Amino acid sequence: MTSTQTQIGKDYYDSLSSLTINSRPIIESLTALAQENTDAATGITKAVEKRINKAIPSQKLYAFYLLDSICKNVGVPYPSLFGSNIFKLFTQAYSLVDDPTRVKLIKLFRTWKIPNAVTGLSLFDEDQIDLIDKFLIRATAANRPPEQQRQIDLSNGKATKQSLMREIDDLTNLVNSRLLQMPDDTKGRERFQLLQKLRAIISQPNAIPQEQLDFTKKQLQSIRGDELLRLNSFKQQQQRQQIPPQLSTNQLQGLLNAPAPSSQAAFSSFQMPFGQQNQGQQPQLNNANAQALFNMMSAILGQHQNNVGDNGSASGFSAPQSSQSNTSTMTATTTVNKNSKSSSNESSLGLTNLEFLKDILRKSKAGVKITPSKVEIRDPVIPPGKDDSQEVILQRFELTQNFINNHKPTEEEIALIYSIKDNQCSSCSKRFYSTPEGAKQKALHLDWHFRTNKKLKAMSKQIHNRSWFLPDKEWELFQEDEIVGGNDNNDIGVELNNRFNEKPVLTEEEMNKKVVTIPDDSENEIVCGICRDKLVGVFDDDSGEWVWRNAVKQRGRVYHYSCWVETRGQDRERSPERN
Amino acid sequence: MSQIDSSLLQSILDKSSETPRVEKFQDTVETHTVEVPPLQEWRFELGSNDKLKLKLLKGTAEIFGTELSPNIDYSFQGSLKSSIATFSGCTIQYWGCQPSSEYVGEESCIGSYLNLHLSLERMRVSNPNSGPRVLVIGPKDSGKTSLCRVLVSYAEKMQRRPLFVNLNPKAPLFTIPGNLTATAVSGMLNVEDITLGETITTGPSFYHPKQSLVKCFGLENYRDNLELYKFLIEQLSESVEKRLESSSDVRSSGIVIDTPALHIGDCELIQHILDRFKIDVLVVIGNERLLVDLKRKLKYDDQKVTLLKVGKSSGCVDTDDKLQRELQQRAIKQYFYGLETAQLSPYTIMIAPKEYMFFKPKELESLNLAFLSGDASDDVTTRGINYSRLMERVKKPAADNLENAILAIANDSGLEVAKYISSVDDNEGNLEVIKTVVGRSVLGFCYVLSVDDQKGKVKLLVPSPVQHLPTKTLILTQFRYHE
Repeated sequence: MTSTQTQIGKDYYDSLSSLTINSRPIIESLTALAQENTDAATGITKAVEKRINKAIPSQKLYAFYLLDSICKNVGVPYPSLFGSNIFKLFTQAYSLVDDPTRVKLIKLFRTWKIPNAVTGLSLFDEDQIDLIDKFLIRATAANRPPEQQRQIDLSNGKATKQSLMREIDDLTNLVNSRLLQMPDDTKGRERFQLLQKLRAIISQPNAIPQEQLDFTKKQLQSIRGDELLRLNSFKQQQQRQQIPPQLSTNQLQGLLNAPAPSSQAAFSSFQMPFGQQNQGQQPQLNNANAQALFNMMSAILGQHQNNVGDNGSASGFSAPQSSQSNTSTMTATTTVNKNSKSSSNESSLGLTNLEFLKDILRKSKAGVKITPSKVEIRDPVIPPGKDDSQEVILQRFELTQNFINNHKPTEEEIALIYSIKDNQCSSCSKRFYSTPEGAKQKALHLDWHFRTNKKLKAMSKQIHNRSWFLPDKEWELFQEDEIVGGNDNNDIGVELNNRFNEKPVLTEEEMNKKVVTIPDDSENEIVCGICRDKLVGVFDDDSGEWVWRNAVKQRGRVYHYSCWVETRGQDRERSPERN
Repeated sequence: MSQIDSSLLQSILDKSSETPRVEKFQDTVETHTVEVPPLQEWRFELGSNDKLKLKLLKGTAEIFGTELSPNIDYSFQGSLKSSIATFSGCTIQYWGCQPSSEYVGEESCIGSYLNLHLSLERMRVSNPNSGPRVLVIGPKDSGKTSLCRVLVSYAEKMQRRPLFVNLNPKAPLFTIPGNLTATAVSGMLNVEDITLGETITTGPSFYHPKQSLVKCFGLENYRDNLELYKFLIEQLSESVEKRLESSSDVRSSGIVIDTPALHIGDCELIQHILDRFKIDVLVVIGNERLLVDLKRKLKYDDQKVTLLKVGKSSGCVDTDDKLQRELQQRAIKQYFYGLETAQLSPYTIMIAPKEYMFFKPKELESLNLAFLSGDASDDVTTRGINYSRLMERVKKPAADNLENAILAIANDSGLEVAKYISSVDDNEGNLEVIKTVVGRSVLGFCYVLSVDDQKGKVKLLVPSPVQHLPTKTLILTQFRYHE
């Protein structure tokens, strides 16, 4: 690139700053500019990409419109220039913008898929379009709040035996076609066999309760998602062989360090700026489910009993990684092991799943109806509809002598104070639901820990006291939200304490009014005779002299004025030494 | 001056570099692991100089309903009898010292405690406007406080904010002993701190702090002045009622009330608590007989009030007076100096006792009560409260009665204190003061470090930096503290 071309690129970037609104004239003139300077196309492409990356989220869309306009109206060489990077550009922007903008981005993307009438090709490179397509399918599914998700499931119609059979057949085909490409994938073979067995179970004439059908449907959906991912990652691996292995290691680490899968799925697109990393997080989730389903089925059919223990998360990962360098597999395994929280989460998920699914199948064979609450509680994919299920379980509890003394709490009852909230704080033992709302609460809670820990660390530098208790009236009106409301609650104590101090706390202004001129023979820094903190001299513009602010000189010693006021006339001693 | 400082600094440095080395040494040498099967508990006892550290390696576990985190090394210091229960089974690792006693108890009550909790939770769900009010009664060392802690902790886990009321003046709860308290629990309880002395400070604390309402009884045994005790229960219940009215989150969660060891002779008192706090559920621990007797003697609407018995945990151990004292002293120390992990700095001030009014709770002979039995209670209910029987003025506050004492700072706002301070013998006046302050919550406590009768000066340890005590009225409690 010559210097003039670089300059054009720079100028073009500067002119892009006008793109703060969706304005046709601006976009048209910028497109025209791009057309006139096709010899500086690289610079202009870079400028537009930079603009998309740097613009505030609400303005990214307009830059995309410009990109679209340039590619469609100017044509060569822009589509190929943008095309090489369009997936990253699109997914990054997508993860940062709000929902309405996302909808617009998706609409825009759809126009890219329409093949050109003459050439029969879509606007950008087929592979990139494909990647975006898949990304969007997953992102839109993951982004939906669970209630909505459930509604969609409902609107899709209830699962019937027929629909499940169709789904299983479809999946079987999918797995089969993948096995053709990856003949050495033993997991895949297992999956293939198990799917056939599941089909056999369902095709039996016994009636199966609706909840179980629905649940199985969900499980199958997650298997499908997983299957698509595997296919995808297989394709990527093929691509990756051209890229240095460094990248894949990074990606792996990125995805392994990602937050606990069960809770964060809904936020994945926010937290994962790179589309590729995003893909990594999902299989963790789906593997857990898929494996649980396998486990269940193996257990039921009395086969693969010994495999159950081996189906840890690490082995789940190793399948798609098989063709990768050793180092990355190592990193993956060790990180999984280190990240004890997420792995323990998974295993526990797997276990409850297993129990639950065994239950389903046992009962469906016998034709017994189970209470819907069971489905709610142990459903690891869709967070529990906490109120309903809890209430159903609670209905069993009677406040009678006999019941209290003789009832043996079942696992799901114990779960009400434990695993129903399976997202545990890593600093204390507080638990949260694996719902978007639970995640939000946890985030607030972690913020609180962060602030508190910071203060606890600084504790030795400051002096703290027990606060006075509240008088009756104030206690009666006290709201606990003042303590746990997520605000900086440590100010309560200070405020409460001051209420009873007869002297109001000095304002900064009052303190700074009191100055002591630094004597010529003194250092600039001096120690306060009371608190032993430093007083540092500053230059006072008004008097044109160096002074100590908030200071007072008494009997030849210098004190902070605030310290002096606090202790004046008081024969206060230091508190006795602690033993 | 500067030289002293540097040597001091050096000694601090020496200390801080020493301690972790010692710990590390113990860390590697003496670790033990305990496997606790599901629905059992590991019980351990520590002596006053012991410091035990432990960690949850596997499974889930809880101490009196509060779940342990696998990511924290918990540390327990000083005399203690405690247990770690588990629903799922767990593995615990401990080090630091060998507990004076430790074993896995096969019978744990957590199953029935959970039943009780979930039954209460069902009540909360079905009547979101008013949560269950639970009163726990039982003989000495039957696990009343443990049950209360479990019920409160489980409720907290289910996003409730129950009110934890302590009517046992011997046991400190969110404050020093000698008080009746009510505290809404909106955050996890501190499992390491058996006396739960944590209330709000000006500094940070690892657990969400608790805001207590504190009524000073000042005596150790509720029988020492039943009239005052009942009066305070009444006052406390009124405040509680108003609190429930203004906080819907607390109202829907209900109340859990811990009590001193009451027996059937206290039937009238139990009736009083039952009525005042509008109890829905009365839980008797470990004493079938007491339950039967109460069912017969108490007046209650059995459509509304449920009487239940839960078994006494086999893990209940007799707490001797020595342990009780140590716990009390620890709670007082914590009030002023905070926890080891979050230390507080109390202040000392000098006051002239003649500028203050000292009152103390009257110790009524229980003999008197027996004589007055029926009539006395009529006295209280029909002719109003006889304030002169609740407290009395300390006429000569001096070394012999103040030394090492814990003083409660009474809330005398609105009272023209100047009028009363000098007139020690004005009985009418004193009665006025008692009337004003006796039922009110106290602001805090101070501890008498030394008394100089000749100069007429008293040196006090106060929790907060103040030039003067916030009020002029002090309640001299029965409790003494030794640093």
